[in-house]
Amino acid sequence: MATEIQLTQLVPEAPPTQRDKSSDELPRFSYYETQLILLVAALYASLILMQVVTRISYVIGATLAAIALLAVGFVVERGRSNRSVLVGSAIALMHVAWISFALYFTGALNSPLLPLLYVVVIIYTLQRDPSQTGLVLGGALLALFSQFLALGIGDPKVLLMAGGHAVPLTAASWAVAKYMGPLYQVQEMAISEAAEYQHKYQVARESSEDAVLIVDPQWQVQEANAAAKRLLRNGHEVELTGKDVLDLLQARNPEGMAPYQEQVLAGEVASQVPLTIIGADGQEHAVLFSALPISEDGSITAIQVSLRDVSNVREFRREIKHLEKFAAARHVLSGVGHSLNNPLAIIRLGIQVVQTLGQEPDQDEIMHQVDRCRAVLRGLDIYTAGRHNSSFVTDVNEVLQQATLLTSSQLMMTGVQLEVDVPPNLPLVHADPHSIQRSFVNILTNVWEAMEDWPGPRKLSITARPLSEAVEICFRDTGPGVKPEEVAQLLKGSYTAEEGGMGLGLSVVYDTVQHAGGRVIISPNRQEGGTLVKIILRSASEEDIQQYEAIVSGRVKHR
Amino acid sequence: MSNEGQRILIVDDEDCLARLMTTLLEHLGYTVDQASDGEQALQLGARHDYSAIICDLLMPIVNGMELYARWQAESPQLAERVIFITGDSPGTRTHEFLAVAGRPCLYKPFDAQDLVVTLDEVLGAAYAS
Repeated sequence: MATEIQLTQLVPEAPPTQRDKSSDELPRFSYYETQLILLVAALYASLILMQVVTRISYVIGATLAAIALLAVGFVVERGRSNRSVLVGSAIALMHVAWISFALYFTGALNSPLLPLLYVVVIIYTLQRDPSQTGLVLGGALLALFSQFLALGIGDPKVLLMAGGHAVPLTAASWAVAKYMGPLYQVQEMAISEAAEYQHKYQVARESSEDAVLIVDPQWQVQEANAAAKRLLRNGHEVELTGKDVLDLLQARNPEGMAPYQEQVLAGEVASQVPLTIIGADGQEHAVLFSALPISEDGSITAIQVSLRDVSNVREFRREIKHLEKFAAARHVLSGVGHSLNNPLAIIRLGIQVVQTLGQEPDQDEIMHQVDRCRAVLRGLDIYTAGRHNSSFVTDVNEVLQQATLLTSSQLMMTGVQLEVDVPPNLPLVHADPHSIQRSFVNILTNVWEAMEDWPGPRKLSITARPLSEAVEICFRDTGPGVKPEEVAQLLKGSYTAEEGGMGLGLSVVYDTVQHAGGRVIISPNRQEGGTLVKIILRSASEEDIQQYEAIVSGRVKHR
Repeated sequence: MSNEGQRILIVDDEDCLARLMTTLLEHLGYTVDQASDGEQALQLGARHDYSAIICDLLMPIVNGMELYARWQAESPQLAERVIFITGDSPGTRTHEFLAVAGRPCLYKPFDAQDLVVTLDEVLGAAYAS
């Protein structure tokens, strides 16, 4: 019983099975007891054999004895219930009836010791399991009755023999049951474990944060876990069972689901398909849709659909991007401080020196330094302007200059040698200068961050050239590079290098350039080492330029 | 104390600022050399035993921190005479370095007076030792 109690404790809420009940009723014999009972059965069988040798008509009885034992074994192996014992007893009684019938014609005698042995077995069996008293005694009485029918009442020897015949076969059936017990237990354990796993799966499914639905091959909901109910029912008493899961999802692009449906019905797994659905709360939810076909005998009987609500993850990523922007802004401000402090130091010290020396101030130099400050502040102005205040025409030279100015102190601090080879009259490009400048700042920031602990050469070369109706800008560094498989993550913004390296900044670059109709190409590991970020931006149209010039000259007030 | 015979090295890639400091210090009687990066400063440091070195932190090729580390290892007497100047605002990474180095630092835009006072302190310390 110990094993079963343990299993029961493991599976407190597992649905009861028919077998649990029967196994509870089945008494357990020890190994030695089983051996003893088997010995009794074997003795009985040998006696039958002896009779077979002496009286050929006993073949019928012996055959029945063998069939009885086999039948009992079969019933027990099926492990249905203690009915196996009953069936075993019934067969034994039939056997006794036949033996008696045979005795009636032959008059053969059994060993006088046998009845004594039968009594011992009866007592022992009843001691082990008194609940079976009725069965054992009932069997004995029935056997007697059949003997009386066969031989007539009055001979006490016949009475003992008839009762005794019933009991050892009953005992034998017990023995077989017990002998099969270990197998039975293994089977029981397997069934219990299966029930346990099923239970655990149900618990896991129910407690999953993902919405999990079991649907039939027609995509009708059969079962739904709590998260699915939350997402699709939102506390309303709407029955999900029987509904078409695709109707429930109200996916924005239901036609886009068709290929995945076909894929799943063909037996393949659909994994993490991004969808935007309308939840029961009426809100849009960004979910990853997965579907796993469940097959039985080669045909799909059900599909497990899971929906991972990633709206919060996106929110989290937005927050990270915000923090990243904040960190980038801090770097930029630090660079601005440095870029302003140098010309201010020159102006201040210059004035004090000319005062001390009694000289005339160098007005051109002072103006030059003021212009330096103005250029930095103009760059900062564009950096902080925000897209909506910005123009749609960008002077690549200007924003590149501003971006290098804003990051010059960090680049210099990291010891990055900057080489700029940009022709002075590049065509204007169709893009918003604020975003492009930010993108350039992000790329430059990524470069110095990647180089901070880089033991190799620290060089950054910026080149640009006009293409047909476009401008190409290349940033080549000699830093650690990026693994090719990480480029996609990097552009998605889900990538953070373990030690410095390209962070979320490049996703902003990617978004910006895509928005402007341009392209970003990243060669993560150049042959010479380091990363190449190539940006191609469309040239501004005539119309763009006319509007831009109008804004610059102040004739049109840009909103 | 006369400034005659005191040789000062100014290391700054901002040429205009370096010239202004040179003009001021020469006016006060010092002999002044100029280097526009750490590499040049190392070469000059190998030739002259400077009484004080005014050194920018952020410079191309070899920056102020690397220069200081080299002198600490190779010419500790020069490292002990360094006055740093920086355009960085307090709180940035350079300040972790300054805290460890323990050398005086002037933040741009500084006054001529501050430069002279700090220089006197460093020269006085060097003279006392």
